[in-house]
Amino acid sequence: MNDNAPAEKRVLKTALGPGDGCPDVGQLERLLTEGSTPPAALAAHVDSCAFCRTEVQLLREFHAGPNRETEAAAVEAITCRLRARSNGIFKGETPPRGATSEPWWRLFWRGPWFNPVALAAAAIVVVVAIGLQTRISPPALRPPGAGPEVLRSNAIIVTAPSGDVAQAPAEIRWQPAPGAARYKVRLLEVDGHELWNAETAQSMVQIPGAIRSRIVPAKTLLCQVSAFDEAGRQIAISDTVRFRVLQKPYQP
Amino acid sequence: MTGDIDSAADLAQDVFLKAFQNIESFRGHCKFSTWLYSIARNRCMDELRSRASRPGQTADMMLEQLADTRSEQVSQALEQRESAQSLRRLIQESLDETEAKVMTLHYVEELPLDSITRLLGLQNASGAKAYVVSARRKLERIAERKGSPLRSKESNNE
Repeated sequence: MNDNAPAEKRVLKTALGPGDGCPDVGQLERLLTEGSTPPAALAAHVDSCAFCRTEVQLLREFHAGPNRETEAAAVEAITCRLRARSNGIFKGETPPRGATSEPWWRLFWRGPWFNPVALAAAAIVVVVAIGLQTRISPPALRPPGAGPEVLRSNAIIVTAPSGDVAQAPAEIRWQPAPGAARYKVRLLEVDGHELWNAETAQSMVQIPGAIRSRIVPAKTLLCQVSAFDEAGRQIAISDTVRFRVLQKPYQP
Repeated sequence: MTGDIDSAADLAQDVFLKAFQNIESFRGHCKFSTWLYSIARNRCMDELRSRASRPGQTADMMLEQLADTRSEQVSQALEQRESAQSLRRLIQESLDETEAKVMTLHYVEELPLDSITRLLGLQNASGAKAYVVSARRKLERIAERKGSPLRSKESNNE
């Protein structure tokens, strides 16, 4: 073992750690809020502070939710487990044998005082959190007969890019929607900021070089395609498709 | 982040429980999701740090062994010649974005390397370890450029 490691760790921890001027996470949130202009001093500090930049990335990814298929599957599995545990509470199941060796919070979770009302309140908290994270404006009321229905779910399937890709994509492709005269394509950051948009009559569009250069490794971006008919009415819209350029392997 | 669903489920339950218990501390100064993030972040970091202190963290032990005898010289040279502020600036200038984040998570948050690899979604074969090694080599080069303390020490040893 290397006896010198603790000294080096101490130096690096001091140099990389938070300083007196580092903002709290509530202030860092302003950097991710769509439509708000963060104070110049805040942006300048984060630019020069590795600790704050790391914090902003963690916060951004937390807001973005799972961005890999494996994560999505894990989230689903965890949701099922937590739901099963809460079902156990509702049914009044007794703890299994050997439960005394379990962590305190498992016992807490099974406590008889932890009633359905409390669980319902917790569920409301989760729903509110999800609601706050969802930045989709409420759908406008649509009078009967006002035009063709806008198909949302899978009406347009974006075929590329999607998921993890090896390099910045040169184009965006999708399956054509019946009756579509033109399409509008939007490239978004995960906080909803629009990076680029374009309109085309084809089922693909080239991404300009200037935009491609902003598609950097490890940064998740979103893509959405809307279809319009001859009269300019929106007739279909795709889901927002995530993609990300993989980090390049380290080359010593 | 944890690498297995079992512990992730336990952590998720723990985080929601803490949020429920401390809901009164949410004052609305930030988004609810940001408040929830701060709870989740602290809980997960605590868990990963406690795991790192358990036996079997081979990747970190290997990293310690990778550090050569110049480590002390690096830290001494940097410590003697740079204040914390200027050392921050050197790190900012010399490390790339991923290296800086990996180093922050490893040395400040004290997360194990395999957790950092998962957390940042690093796809290279050796994950976060490669970035730590690369960053340390860069810092060693800076220390060497600073020059005199290292050379004088080495010449004294000869």
